[in-house]
Amino acid sequence: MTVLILAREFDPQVDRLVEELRERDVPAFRTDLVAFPQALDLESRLGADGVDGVLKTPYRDLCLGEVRSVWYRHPSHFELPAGMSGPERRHATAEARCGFAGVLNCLDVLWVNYPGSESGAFKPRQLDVARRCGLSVPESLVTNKPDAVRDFAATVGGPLVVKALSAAMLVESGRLQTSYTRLVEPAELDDLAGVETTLHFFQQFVPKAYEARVTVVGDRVFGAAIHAGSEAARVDWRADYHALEYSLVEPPEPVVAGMLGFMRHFDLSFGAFDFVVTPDEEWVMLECNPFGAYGWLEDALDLPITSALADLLMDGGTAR
Amino acid sequence: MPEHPVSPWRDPLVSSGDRFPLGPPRGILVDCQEGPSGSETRPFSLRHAVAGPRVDTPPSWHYIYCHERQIALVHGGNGEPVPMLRHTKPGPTQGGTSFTTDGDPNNPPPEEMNPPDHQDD
Repeated sequence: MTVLILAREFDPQVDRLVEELRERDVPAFRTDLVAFPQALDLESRLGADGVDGVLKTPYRDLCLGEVRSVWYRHPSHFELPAGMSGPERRHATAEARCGFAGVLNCLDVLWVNYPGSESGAFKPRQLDVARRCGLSVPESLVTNKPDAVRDFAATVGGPLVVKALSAAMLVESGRLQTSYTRLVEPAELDDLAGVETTLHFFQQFVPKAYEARVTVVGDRVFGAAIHAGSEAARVDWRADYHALEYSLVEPPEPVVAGMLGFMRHFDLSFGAFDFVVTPDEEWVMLECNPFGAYGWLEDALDLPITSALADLLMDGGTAR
Repeated sequence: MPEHPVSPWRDPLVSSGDRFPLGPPRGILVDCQEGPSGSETRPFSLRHAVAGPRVDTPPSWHYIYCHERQIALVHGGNGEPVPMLRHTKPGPTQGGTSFTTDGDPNNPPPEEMNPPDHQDD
């Protein structure tokens, strides 16, 4: 039985897992959907006996019936033949997408994570589910009304941050731009131009003793405290990696229970939770990333996350 | 605990594309030469966006994908291809590559920072 890995070729975390599985003599079939249709074929029959089929690359084949589990880690978009017209490309893309999704959806095995599970996990919804799972969450506001931001600021009575609801990166003028979470300066409350252009996500800035990235694999929990050593990192630790120090931390039991409930709700087998831990030792959840990076924490703290992921994928089963 | 979880498959806010999310081909973001619009129309959330590297800059993360081992290789000190990451020990990576962290613009963009889906057309 084989672990199917749908991921990009350049993904060091996937490399680690492949090596881990190889050491355990567990077959793995790794492919990126960018290979379709040039170097990846799918042939699947659906009939009275059910669904079967094969994924083929120039290097190996995989019978779908031999799949024990799937690691779905944001594979790349198909690279369709050059020369297609726009309408043809859109049609071919939709056909390929529905075909892969439809066939792979028939695999009654463990998915880490199931495609689409993350998509329901919009940040506001995450916070609502987290709250209902017993986790503390920050006061938050989603709005395109500047007056609502001012009212919210008055209600919160402390600093606010503005953060992305969707992607934090975009490309402008040929350059990568990242909108890290940042503090809203008090003076900006008098000049909120641009808020009205789209929905914005404001939150109370929660006082921090430190932050924590908790990686949950199945029901195993790996906590890393992130200690920020610069002003930028104290607001968004992604903004200044060189200023970070790490240590092991164990989330309190109610927090663990809340995270596991959250994951059950969203059908997640893997999640990277971000928390603020206040000076009073309260754990406040900011968000959960179903595809969160973990390799650098694994390195820094010797956390056996890859091993746990391999255990999970080896066990297989039907988790959804 | 919420009593009635909503499956993303039934969620009207989740598009069919989002139900099978795909990233940009090979993780490389599409170059866009369009610049910021102006203060009247620029979203507030982008007011202090931090500029990273040009996307047409050749990436520093050269690798060879080994189809046999199904992992990426880099050229080691003696010119021989070696696994990009040491597997078990923490510390700097062989070949001078760096690990993918969350949001470090000097690395290939982690997929979690990218838009949740990508389509050229």
